[in-house]
Amino acid sequence: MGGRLKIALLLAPALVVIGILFAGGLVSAVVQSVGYMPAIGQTRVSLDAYREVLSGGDFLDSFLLTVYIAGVSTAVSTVLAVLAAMTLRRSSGRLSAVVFQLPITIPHLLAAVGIALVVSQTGLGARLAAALGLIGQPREFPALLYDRYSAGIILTYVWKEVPFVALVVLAALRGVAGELEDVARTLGANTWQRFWYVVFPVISPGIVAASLLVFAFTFGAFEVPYLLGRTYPTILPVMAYNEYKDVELSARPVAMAINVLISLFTAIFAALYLRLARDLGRG
Amino acid sequence: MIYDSAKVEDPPKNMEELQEWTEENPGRFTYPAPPDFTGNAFIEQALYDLAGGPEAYQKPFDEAVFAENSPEVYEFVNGIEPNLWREGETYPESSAKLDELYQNGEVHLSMGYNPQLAQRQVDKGLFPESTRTYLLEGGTLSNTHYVAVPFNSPNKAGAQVVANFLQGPEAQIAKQGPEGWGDLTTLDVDRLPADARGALTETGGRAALPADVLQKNRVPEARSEWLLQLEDGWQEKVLKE
Repeated sequence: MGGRLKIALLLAPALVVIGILFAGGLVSAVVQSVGYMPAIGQTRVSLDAYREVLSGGDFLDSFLLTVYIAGVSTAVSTVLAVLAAMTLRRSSGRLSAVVFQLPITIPHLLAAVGIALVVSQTGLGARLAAALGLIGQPREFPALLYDRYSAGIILTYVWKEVPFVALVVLAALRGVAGELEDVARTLGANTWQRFWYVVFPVISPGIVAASLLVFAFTFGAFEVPYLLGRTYPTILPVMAYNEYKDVELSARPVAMAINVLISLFTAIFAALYLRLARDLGRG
Repeated sequence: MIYDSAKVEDPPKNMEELQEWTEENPGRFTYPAPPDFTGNAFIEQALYDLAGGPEAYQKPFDEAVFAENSPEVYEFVNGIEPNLWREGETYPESSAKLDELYQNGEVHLSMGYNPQLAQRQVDKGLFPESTRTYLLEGGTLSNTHYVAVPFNSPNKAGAQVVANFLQGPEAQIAKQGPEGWGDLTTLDVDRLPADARGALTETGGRAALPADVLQKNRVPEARSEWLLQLEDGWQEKVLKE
């Protein structure tokens, strides 16, 4: 009984912060999304905003784009991170620490601007390619920003998230995996068998947790697609922002409805993914 | 409007010339996507230019007039779209983004509400020295900044004192200066006592236009219902198609 109380007390400060800031924000978003805004005299509660959002084609376009960006960024980051961690785990701590920890300290906003400076059509990459004679003029450089495939956004996310996932994987690899692998080697397992039957099961919980965090983050993040994305379609958080800054205060419930839906989708994806990972673990 | 005189000899002064200019210089012009403030102003300017001047749009919104006039604007901007930056597949989302394209030399024209913008960016070394400002033939859109006191404000009297100060010549001169905000004053300079006029009639520099030229060519904004309709129409008929 005393143990439980101790746990509750230790968790309380963090829970209070999360509770007030996150739950409070979510509740007020839900309240505004159903049209309850006494400050402008709206007290009638309705689901009109949700109806408006879900009936428009824009929402579907944005939703698909958001899933595409979050999905591709997560998949590419995870694969690259596992490969990098496998390669780097035998190296001395210093190099891998520098290589992996540096991007983690850099904010997404800065990363987006940096990537833009390098890959834009007047950027460093374009000028270098032109100087080397690979392309005739800098403006012939492929359009990687504000483009159909969101290449600039995905590039930024991969650059930011590979180190994050890799650090988690590396931590797992440096634990018990090395010893288990040595045992497998003495029993005659080849490289692929050692990875698939010994190492992978050990690191998979870390991969699942880290990639889920990356997916949830990229699904709800605003700044990188806002800076590097096309005007239309945009991802859901940018769509919500555009509604939010509408000159008509009455567009506010629509913006909030989109925000609530983003939270809902993230929760659903997380639940499905965790269940999938659990089933895989059993199989 | 802002242009680089080293690259553009004779900048387009109305929408017809702009259309020809974009045909001759594909990819060298774009405008911020409405609902950006400056992007709205561009399509509003196009509306004035193509469909009969500012007068009609000072009246309350009229569905019939809008239905008759707005298609000309959308036809025009859709017509120039293939010759815009990135073939109009995407637009800069703000005037700051457009300025960035301009300073990188990706586009040769830019635009802004702020008459001191070009000079300020030249002074900072961001815009090329050869940058110049010019006006479209139909005049330049201008509007007024308002200050409001919220109905539930706890300090109404204090707010009124601040509002009075903001309207005085001293604050207005500071606001118009190129190192300050740079916007034109709302005061009628001729009705001010001579010693209070101060810097209100001065020119900002080579890249800017004289204040009296700007004052003389001001045209009022359309009423906001027109603008909202114009903006929604742009999203539907230009951006998504």
